[in-house]
Amino acid sequence: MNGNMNGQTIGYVTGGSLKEGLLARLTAAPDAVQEGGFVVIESGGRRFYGLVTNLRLDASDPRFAENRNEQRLGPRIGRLLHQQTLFTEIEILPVLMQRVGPEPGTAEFDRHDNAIDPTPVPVKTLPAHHAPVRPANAFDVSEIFGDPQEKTKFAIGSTREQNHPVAIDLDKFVQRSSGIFGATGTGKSYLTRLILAGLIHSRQAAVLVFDMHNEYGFGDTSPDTNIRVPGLKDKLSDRVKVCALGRGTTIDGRTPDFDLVLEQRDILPEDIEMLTHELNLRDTTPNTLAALVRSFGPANWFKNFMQLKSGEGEGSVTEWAEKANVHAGAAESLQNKLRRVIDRAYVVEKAPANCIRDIIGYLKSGVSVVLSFGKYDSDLDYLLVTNILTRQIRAAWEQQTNAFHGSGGAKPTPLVIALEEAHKLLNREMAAQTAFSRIAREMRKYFVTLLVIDQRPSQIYDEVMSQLGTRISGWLGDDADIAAVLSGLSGRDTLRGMLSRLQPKEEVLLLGYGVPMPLPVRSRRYDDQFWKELLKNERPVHFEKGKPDWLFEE
Amino acid sequence: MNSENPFGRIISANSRECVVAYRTSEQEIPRFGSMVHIPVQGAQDFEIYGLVTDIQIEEDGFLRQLATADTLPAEVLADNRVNRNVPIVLRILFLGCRDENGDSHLLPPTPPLTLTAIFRCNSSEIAHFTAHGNFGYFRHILNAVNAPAAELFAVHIRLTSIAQNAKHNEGWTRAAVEELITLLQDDYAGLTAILGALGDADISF
Repeated sequence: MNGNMNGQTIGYVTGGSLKEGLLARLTAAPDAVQEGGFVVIESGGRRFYGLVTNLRLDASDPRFAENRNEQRLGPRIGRLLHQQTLFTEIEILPVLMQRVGPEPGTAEFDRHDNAIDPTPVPVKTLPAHHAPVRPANAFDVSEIFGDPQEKTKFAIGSTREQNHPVAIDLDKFVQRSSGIFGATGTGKSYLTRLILAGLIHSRQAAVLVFDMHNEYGFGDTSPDTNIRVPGLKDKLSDRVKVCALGRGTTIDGRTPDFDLVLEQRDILPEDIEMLTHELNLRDTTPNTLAALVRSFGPANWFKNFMQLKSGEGEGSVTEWAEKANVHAGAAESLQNKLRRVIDRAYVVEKAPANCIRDIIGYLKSGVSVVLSFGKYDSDLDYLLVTNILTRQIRAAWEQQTNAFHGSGGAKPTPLVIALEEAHKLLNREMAAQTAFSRIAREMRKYFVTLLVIDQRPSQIYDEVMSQLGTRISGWLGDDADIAAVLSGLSGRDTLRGMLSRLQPKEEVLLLGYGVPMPLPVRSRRYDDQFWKELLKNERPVHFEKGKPDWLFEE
Repeated sequence: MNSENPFGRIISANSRECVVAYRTSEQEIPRFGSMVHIPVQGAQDFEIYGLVTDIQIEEDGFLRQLATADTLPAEVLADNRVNRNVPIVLRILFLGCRDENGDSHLLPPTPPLTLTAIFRCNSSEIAHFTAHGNFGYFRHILNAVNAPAAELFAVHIRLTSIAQNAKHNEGWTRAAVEELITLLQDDYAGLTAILGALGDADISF
């Protein structure tokens, strides 16, 4: 469906069902329509919106296709024969319908009951035989996905064939946890930056980005174009703070707004249990940790335990183990393994400032925070820091939400936690132990949601995947990954092929709660043009820590 | 033979076709696949349109003796061919009719009576009748028994396209071929036979 066919009929309905989708005979050339094309069918005062899910070359008799009759009959008669006996059938997944009434000025218009649907609704009936099929025009796209100029809408890309802008509803996007998926090299991180920029700019939510690869704050150089692209801090400096893990850490030679160091008292036994795989902990570890908390209390167990001497005698691990009725060997082994934690430079006994409280303060006031891991790029760092931080954030938002509902306190700032390499924290083994799975499951009502970014969605725990409302996926090759992205969605069987046949770059499939219907789109480029368009109506905003200054403004 | 003068008379008829005895004094035998019309007078006047689907020249009994002769003088040949005892017989397939309401591609309400005169259609009549409706008369040709449909269509469409082009109706031929394809797309053998014949007829459109 190229530009000059915009609005023209490309075929007509020949059959179908609600369960299996519609069939239409194509009257345009087969290559004029692509899988995933957004089409509109008008029938009986209703407009049906659907997706082309399959194209099939067919013939009224197979022999017309098998035999090259034009060589025998001559080109003119052969062409006429082919035009009528060889055809393309398209399968359409009808998704939405809208009663629009007849065209004004027609005889039907005078007779109809003026009943129209203000917005499209899920499809519940079918168009009639021979109803014309046409590619969606800009009005149709806007009718379904909304006007990108609206405050809560963000143009994420454009339709692949006609290049009409397609918007996602940021309001809905932050109401439930979301996911951005795609195989490596498909542009996930650029797409994530686009969406985060839109979210931060639209002031729909504050964002906490766990930036494992130091890409989001100050930008990086594109491996494909070798061009330096700006980070969120570069363009939205008054709404974004860059925080680096560890004292004196710089990101590509640039100094962050502040550092994050963890106090030993921040580390809880469950943070250690979550590192079972990383630290190669024994099965006895939970018992030892429980005994440590009993002995030293939840705030000081780590510090006191790590101060115990090895060997025997007073103040030794063995002595404590005997008193606590814990196997001495297990305790000594645990202490040895926890040296990897206490040796991290960002784990200190006493921090000069309460960094976690600062981060929470910024986030509460609507300022987004990019936490760059700097040189601490091991899985141990990522798992430990994200879990400790997220646990405290979760507690803060729960407290504020309860106050909001109970005693009329301020409404919490919607918060989106962007989580790269999400499968490391949300896999089947880890999901139950980290704060993230609970956020995905329960924190929607506390105004906290996740933005899961991953290249292996099949590695993410099913229960977490099922909670993801909006899913945006680039090309995926693995069947299990494709199945995971589509899990819980209607029409997944027909969408499966669409996902596997996306272009490796700059094409994504929009799915789920935040979009009215699935649609493959050509994603916007994260470049100067994007920022120019985003910031064209920008006005300076001044924040006061702890006070949301924009969330409820008219 | 011309369109004003009859070239023969009907010797038998039914609702679908008739048999015509051809007057051998005519200079030209009506061509296979050419269109004819048969005015019918009665309680209701109408005119039947038809297509020559077969031309039969039978022997008259004396012909066998002549055929075995060593030499045949020219006057004997001419006498046998012109003053025949057994006429040349044409089979006419009805395509439709015209009455006071205009052309119709339905079969005539009654067959013509015997000895009714038959006329050749001129170019204008061919163009008018074949441009009416949407090729409904094709079904009579397709349903004809013992008629070579492929050959009939090839000749008919070639002759008719000349008449239509004279009326500046150049799209008729293409539309006729498209209609044939539509009617026969479930009959691969039948359609390709007809299209093959059309190709041999070198029809341009």
